[in-house]
Amino acid sequence: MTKRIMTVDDSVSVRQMVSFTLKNAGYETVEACDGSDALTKLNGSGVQMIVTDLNMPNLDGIGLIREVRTKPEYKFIPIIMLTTESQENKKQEGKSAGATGWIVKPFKPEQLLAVIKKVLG
Amino acid sequence: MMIDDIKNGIARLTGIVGGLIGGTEDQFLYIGSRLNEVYNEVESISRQASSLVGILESSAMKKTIGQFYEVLDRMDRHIRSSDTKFNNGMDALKEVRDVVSHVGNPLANFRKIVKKLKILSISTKIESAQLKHMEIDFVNLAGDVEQLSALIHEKSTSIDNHRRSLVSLVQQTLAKVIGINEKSKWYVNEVLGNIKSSINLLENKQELSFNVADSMLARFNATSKRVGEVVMEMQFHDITRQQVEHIRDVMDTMEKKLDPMATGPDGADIGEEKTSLMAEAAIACELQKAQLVDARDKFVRAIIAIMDNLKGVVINVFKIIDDVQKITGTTDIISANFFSNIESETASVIEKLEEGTLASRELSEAMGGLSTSVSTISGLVDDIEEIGEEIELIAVNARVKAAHTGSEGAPLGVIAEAIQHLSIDATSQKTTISELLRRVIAATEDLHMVMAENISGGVSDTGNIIEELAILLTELKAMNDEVITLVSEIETKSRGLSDVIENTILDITVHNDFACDVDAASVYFDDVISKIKEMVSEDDLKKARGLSLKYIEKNYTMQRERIVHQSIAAPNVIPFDSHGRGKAASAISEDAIESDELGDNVELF
Repeated sequence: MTKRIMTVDDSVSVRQMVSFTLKNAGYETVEACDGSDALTKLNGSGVQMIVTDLNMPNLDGIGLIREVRTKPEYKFIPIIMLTTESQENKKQEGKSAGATGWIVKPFKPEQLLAVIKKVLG
Repeated sequence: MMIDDIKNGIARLTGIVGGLIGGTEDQFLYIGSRLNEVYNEVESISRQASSLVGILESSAMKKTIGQFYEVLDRMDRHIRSSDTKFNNGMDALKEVRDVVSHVGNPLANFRKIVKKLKILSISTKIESAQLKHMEIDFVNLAGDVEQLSALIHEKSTSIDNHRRSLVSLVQQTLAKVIGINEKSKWYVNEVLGNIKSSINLLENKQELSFNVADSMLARFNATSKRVGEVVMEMQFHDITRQQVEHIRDVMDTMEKKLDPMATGPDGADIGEEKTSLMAEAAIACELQKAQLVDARDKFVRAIIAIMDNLKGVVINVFKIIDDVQKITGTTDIISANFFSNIESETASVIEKLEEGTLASRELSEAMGGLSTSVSTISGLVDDIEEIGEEIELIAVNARVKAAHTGSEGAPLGVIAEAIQHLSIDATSQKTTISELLRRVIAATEDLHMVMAENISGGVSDTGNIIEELAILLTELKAMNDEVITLVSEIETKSRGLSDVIENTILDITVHNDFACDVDAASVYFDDVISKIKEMVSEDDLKKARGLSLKYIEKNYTMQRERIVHQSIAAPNVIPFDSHGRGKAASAISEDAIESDELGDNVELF
């Protein structure tokens, strides 16, 4: 069964590239433009993994992780931060909120796919 | 110079910077959608190229080659068998020729018998003239002998004529057999040559396809890598956008800081607080200009890299076409000549094999004529046998008449004895001829049988070979049609893909537009900075550098921004590599990213 991954980013071009990479590797994708949009689209979506940006309007990546972790059905869903932010304190903040991993932009398609394979199996 | 002017200048800069990136994403989305098309098309071409290699490497192709070898073996057997049969035929024909030639000797003896009979007839007439009584009986005897000699002459001449015509027929048949044998060998050699060259071509292509398949795989991998590079460079829109937004935010903060100060005229002495703020504004502008120039360089570099990689995809696609053509030969050979040559050559070979069969039939008919001639000669030999019996009777009659004549008929007794000897001689010659003709009949029958077998076997072999060649040809044509379709589709798609990429590249202007806008903004930055510097001293600027840097630094999210910042704050440190994208200097120790097999920018918790 095809695995479904949600990509959350306020940049349309980044969402386009993440979806391009994932679809060509055989994954289904769901796109959200910020944390708030992601939470709306998450329910009943069958999403098995989230790849999210950090800095976004309405609800940022850390806020999204915290919200998602409160939902019993998504308590253990893998969440990867995909952001330009590389500071250690931010990473620690993400880790504390429940992020599974951290990728600093720009990513190479094979890196993203390797992370997904490692996390999703 | 008014602080208001500076504040307004910074406000204007805030507006200019804020508007820099807004309209650029559409082109990135356009490139992204084209990239998707390109990738799908490359995938499709990749699948078709793999199918092409698959056909050339397929078991069907191997089977066809194997069948070609089988035909080759059968042709070899056909040659050997034909050679043996033709040699047998040749031997039989030569025997017929030799035996028929030998028939000439006993026939020459018949001529001697005829001569002697004529002399005996005359002698009988002379002797009978000396005997007054019984003259009539001897005259009759002489007449019988004369008639007999004429009959023998007639029959032996007829036999000789038939013999000569038989020898001539055998010579012609022999020449024909030799011709057919040589022709047959030539046909078969041509068949073998054509099949061998076809097999070699197929085998070469098959071998080549193995090598080219690896090369094609490498090209597809290279293309995928190019596409991956484009995906990475495409993210620089977002990175640049964030960097530009941070610049705008700093300028906005600066504008707000200046706002309460922007009242009243500024003279030579604008007050310590205002001086400090103005110096801070100058440093902030310098820093943000540097950030903006860095953002421009990154952005332009990313777009150029995108274009280069897209061009690289086109180059790879054309290399794939080259690979395809290496396997199939040039496009012209595939479509016009390669398989159609095999088809026409095979058709010509089939035609020649059929001609050979027809010639063999003609030979068989000629063999029928040979048999008829031999039968006619046999009939004539039977006639001679009857003549021999008649000589015997005449000889007995002559002896009886000589005995009746008494001592006067003694000479006639000698004649009668001579006739008796001629009878024995004629019988002996007849036996010799009969034996020789029996050998001719036997040899002719053998030859006829050999030829019949040869034709029937030849027709059967030729028919099977023709059938098999036709099947192989049909299979080859089917494979060829598939190859032609695939090659044509790959070429069409590749050229279409090339057009899409080239048009996409032509449509990309965003980097030039952005660079122009940034250059214009830089001029404005310089203008504002120089105006401020007219109002503050170097000492003021030094103090401001220390004050303003920290709050600006907090605004950054990207390591690259910090690197640029430090290059202004601590210009003696070279914090990044020549490409401007490398890891920061060791000064930025807190940003050290855990490195593992996933890459320096990836960390799993």
